[in-house]
Amino acid sequence: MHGRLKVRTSAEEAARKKKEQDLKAKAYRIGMDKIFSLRSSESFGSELLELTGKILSVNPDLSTLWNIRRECILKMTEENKEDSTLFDRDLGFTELCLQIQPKSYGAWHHRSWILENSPKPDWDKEVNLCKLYLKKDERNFHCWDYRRYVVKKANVSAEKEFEFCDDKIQKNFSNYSSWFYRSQLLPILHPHESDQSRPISEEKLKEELEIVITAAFTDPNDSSAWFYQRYLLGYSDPKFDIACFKLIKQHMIIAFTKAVDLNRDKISIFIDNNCDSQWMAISGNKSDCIWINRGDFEITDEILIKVTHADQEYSLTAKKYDKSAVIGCKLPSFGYEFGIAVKEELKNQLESCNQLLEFEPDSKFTLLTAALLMRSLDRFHYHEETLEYLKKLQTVDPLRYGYYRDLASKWILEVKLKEFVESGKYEKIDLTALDLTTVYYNQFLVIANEIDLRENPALNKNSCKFSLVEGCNVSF
Amino acid sequence: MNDLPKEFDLCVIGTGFQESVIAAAASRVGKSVLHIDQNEFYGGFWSSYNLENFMNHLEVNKAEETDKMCKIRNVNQQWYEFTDEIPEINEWNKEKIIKDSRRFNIDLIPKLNYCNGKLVDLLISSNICRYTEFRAVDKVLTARNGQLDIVPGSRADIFTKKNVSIVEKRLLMKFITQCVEYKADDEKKEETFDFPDDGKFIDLMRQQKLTDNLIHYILYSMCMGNDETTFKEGLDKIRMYLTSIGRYGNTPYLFPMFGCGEIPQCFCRLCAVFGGIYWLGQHVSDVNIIDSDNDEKVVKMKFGDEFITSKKLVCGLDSNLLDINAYPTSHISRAVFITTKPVGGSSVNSELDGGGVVLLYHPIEGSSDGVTMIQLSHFTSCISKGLYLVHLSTPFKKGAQNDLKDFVNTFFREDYSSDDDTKPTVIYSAYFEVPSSIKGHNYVDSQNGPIFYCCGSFAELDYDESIRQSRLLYSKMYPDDDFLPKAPEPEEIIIGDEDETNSSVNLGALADLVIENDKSGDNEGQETVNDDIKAENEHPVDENKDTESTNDIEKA
Amino acid sequence: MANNQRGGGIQRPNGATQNKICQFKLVLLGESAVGKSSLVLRFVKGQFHEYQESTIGAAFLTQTVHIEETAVKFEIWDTAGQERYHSLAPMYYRGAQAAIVVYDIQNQDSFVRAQTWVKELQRQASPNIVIALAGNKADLAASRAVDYEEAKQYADENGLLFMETSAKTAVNVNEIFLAIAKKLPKNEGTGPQQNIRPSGNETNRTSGNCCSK
Repeated sequence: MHGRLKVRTSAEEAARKKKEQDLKAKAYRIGMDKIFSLRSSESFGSELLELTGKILSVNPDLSTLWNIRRECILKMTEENKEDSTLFDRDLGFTELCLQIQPKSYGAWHHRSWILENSPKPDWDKEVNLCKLYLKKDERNFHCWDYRRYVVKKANVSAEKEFEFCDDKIQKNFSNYSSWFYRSQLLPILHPHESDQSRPISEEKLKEELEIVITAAFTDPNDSSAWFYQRYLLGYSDPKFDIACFKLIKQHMIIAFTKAVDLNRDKISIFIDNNCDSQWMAISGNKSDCIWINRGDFEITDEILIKVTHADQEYSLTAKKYDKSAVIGCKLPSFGYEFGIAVKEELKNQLESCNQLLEFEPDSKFTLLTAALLMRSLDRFHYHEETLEYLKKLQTVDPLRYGYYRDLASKWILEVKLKEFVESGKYEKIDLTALDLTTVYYNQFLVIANEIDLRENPALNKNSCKFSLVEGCNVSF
Repeated sequence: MNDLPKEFDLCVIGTGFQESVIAAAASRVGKSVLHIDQNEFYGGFWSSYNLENFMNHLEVNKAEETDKMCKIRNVNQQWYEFTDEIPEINEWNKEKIIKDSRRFNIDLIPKLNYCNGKLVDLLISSNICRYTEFRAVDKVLTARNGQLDIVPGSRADIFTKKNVSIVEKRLLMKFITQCVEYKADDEKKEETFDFPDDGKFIDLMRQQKLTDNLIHYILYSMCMGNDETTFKEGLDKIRMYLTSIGRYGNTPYLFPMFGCGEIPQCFCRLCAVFGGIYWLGQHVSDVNIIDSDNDEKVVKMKFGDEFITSKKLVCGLDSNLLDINAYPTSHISRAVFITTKPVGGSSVNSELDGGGVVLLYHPIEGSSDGVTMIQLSHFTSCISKGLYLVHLSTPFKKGAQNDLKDFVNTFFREDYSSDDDTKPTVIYSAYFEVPSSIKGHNYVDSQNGPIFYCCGSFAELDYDESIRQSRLLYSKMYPDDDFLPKAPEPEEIIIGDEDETNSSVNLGALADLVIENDKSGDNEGQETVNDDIKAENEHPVDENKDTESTNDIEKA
Repeated sequence: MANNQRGGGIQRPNGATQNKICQFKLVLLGESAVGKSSLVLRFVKGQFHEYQESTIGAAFLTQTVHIEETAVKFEIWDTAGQERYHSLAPMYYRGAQAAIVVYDIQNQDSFVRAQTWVKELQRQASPNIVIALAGNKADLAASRAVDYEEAKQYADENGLLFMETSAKTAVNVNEIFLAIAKKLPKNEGTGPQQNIRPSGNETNRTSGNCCSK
């Protein structure tokens, strides 16, 4: 017989591991001490680079060391700014760190720093690097971020990038990063024909809706596709705009579609071409949808309101409503108005959903998709039906009971708000006994003198910001 | 043979799959093993051959054709007849192909493995996995009315599949998810299936409103089943399929690089690593069971000019010591083709190189069996670049050519037409029948040693039944010993007189820090660390004590 | 005496950090008792045992060497004694990117056998394999039977690296591995899909030159 095989016992192995750990900790302490003493004596040179490299290659998440490394490289290259050797070597070094930890903030950031500071950055090489890392892990959002950054520098066309994105989605559609990138590229590649507020053309939209419903049907539990669908259907955050305006003797009120900070966001409000900065947020917070300007104002026949924000101008004409108020209001955009082709696609999708509901009448994702599709087709026509679906969802998906009730509240309010704005009668809005849980669009309601919210037992009163406005009588 | 020991715990004759597994398992737990094969190569029926050896091997068997069950039989080899008008097809002809003979690894018994199947599990649990490499099967095909189609197996496939409507996608995903989540004793059956185990799988799918399109993919391809497949069988298959997919590739299957002949060799290597002795091209004769000194039955046999004894003897299917009559055997009908194009042409091969490994299972009308096709390209290192190696297998019924005729006519052609994109021309064909064992038969219970007999291959896609039988046989032979426990990692092994805890401390890049610090000597109490680092794995250490001591001895 | 002969050691230029890690399969070939295992043991563990027996269970070791900015990790396979009765399994040298064919400078037969192995590798192994010929037991040059020049000429004709080594005194042991590491291609990719080596931890270990570039 040959020699016997000796294998470490588990106790011996544990002892070895412990020793290794202790030694590592020790090495780390020694290294850190040396690094700090070198730095305080301003000995910026290869020794400092080597020491930080040793520790970073084991743990690339130490941002202090990356900072010291940057400081060191800058000092070392002060003499000869044209020499890229040191930068190139450090690019290689970050790659080693990324092999160890592909999601290291420090290493990715250091890489972009090198390229920004190197005399000869090779951006194309960086694009290829991203390709490689996204092949290893297509959901590495660090790399997606980095990719968007280098692609701009390397002047890669949006077409190429879209192709890349599309390939990644086909391989695995559970990929927020790639869907998001897609939503950024499409408006460049396929802008809407006429309407600037719409991100992508009708034709492309139709295709995108097809892809996204396919993903959603393939795996409804994957939420990334849903987010993209909401985006396509225009359910994402509202765009900034003026919502409404009301002037009475004691104050002016202006409301926006979304909360803004007038100071920080550099928003100017011109009332008949006069810019006044006496606006205060109704809640007293820095950011708000509703702003008030107290004073002593005159009731005129017509007031032109202009708002400038991010190089865009928004306007609204308010008209004298009665002897005590001047009021202007825009009907909010609840979603996009689609063309015939897209509507056709939406109808097909709705049909597929209904077909599926025959097999699976309780499928929550199908119920919700069907409801959303109906609303995109014609929210007012299908109003009652969509509310029925939400009711059903409350029973088949009790975990999201609250969410469905909130959603129902929102949809009900859309109908009520439309009636209210279109009626032109702003004294009072009747919202009694609607089973509301929360009041959406409440900035649009500030123009009313009276808001009747009685018999809504589940209503969260904190959601009613308009109750802060003087002269707006709210009954719960 | 003078230095060969005369006594062994185990002698194994034949290096087929089961023989090699038994040899490895015995050696692993410390038995002394002599492993021999009458051939000059490893694997027996489980071997991979280069083209010339393959052709010769078949011819030899043809010449020797007898009634003996455990032989390859009914061999028929043919080459496409190249003429002056058609001297070559896609730049290949017989001469060119034979010249490339060494690039071929042709299996008599080609097999695939589920990524989550028994072989992969065994390779991992025994640590034999480090000896072998696989390629994930690139595509799984199915055929309807002679039209080939790619089976959407993974989520990504289902997402991008064109001829499956979105409603079907939902139904398919839901069904396969339920299959994976199904537990037989689940209280809440209404959430999955409430269906009898022996009910027909197809009826369950209809009950679940799956379309014919989906039933085809699931039943005839993923499950490799038929209309008689029971719920339980179907469920087991689909679960294996689904738990395997995505583990290593986009399909559930793996094929060994360089052919399946590698697999037994991996087990042999483990046997050798633990001290097993290998000797190819050897026979034993005069085999007798005798009583040993301590009244145990042992096997005495003549090996070369000498007698050796072994406490146990294991014989493979191709060993002439096997008692065929006591050992029910059947056959598998096989065909091996060489073509210059992948099956299906551009309709299923977007990249036009046919990918690496393609699987096509095709049920035979009016039979519970089907034909399995495994098509290999050069990516498996089994054939030259530009050629395709096609393996067809089906359980023997009337004869290889007869059993495979319909399949071949549907997907291949024997003549050449430059217009036909979908049916590749067969340039070389070999039909034959290899012996196999019968699945489900109990081969172990009747065996009481000290001579044991191994099974051959089974008519299955993978090695699962072979592994099951190997475990049974091993536990009969060595009821008290573990079956292939994990072999230690290199770093866990203590070599020579290593100090046990100080060795193999691996600090990677940090090591220098400690060493440099110690060299500078401005710290107290560094002695121990210094020693530790000397033994550190990353750096061969120069001032080695062993070297010193051996040199001291020399000087003395 | 031996201490002075410790060879060049592993090169690790001060200050150079490794940017790439490449892994290669290296196999040892040659007749029994020419010192294959001893060479590995010297290289990996820095040990030498005069009466080294084949060590059970340890025919697979790893060691890393550093070439400029690349860390080259060798996966070193030993024959596990299968060569003794000319029964080495072909799977042993399949997919190997490097091989060291060893003979004993005191034994002409072992040199002839080494040439057979070289031929076998040239026919059967991957076409780009880097082969090194090692005339081992160089410390016993007094009883030399294989001429240095003869072996050198053979190596040159066949495009092999060549060194006379001594596992005992460590002469040229690190050097031969280092020379191989230098010669190995470090940027080569494999096919569109990489090979799979199943492992317990489920990180798909890919084979070949799994460099990052």
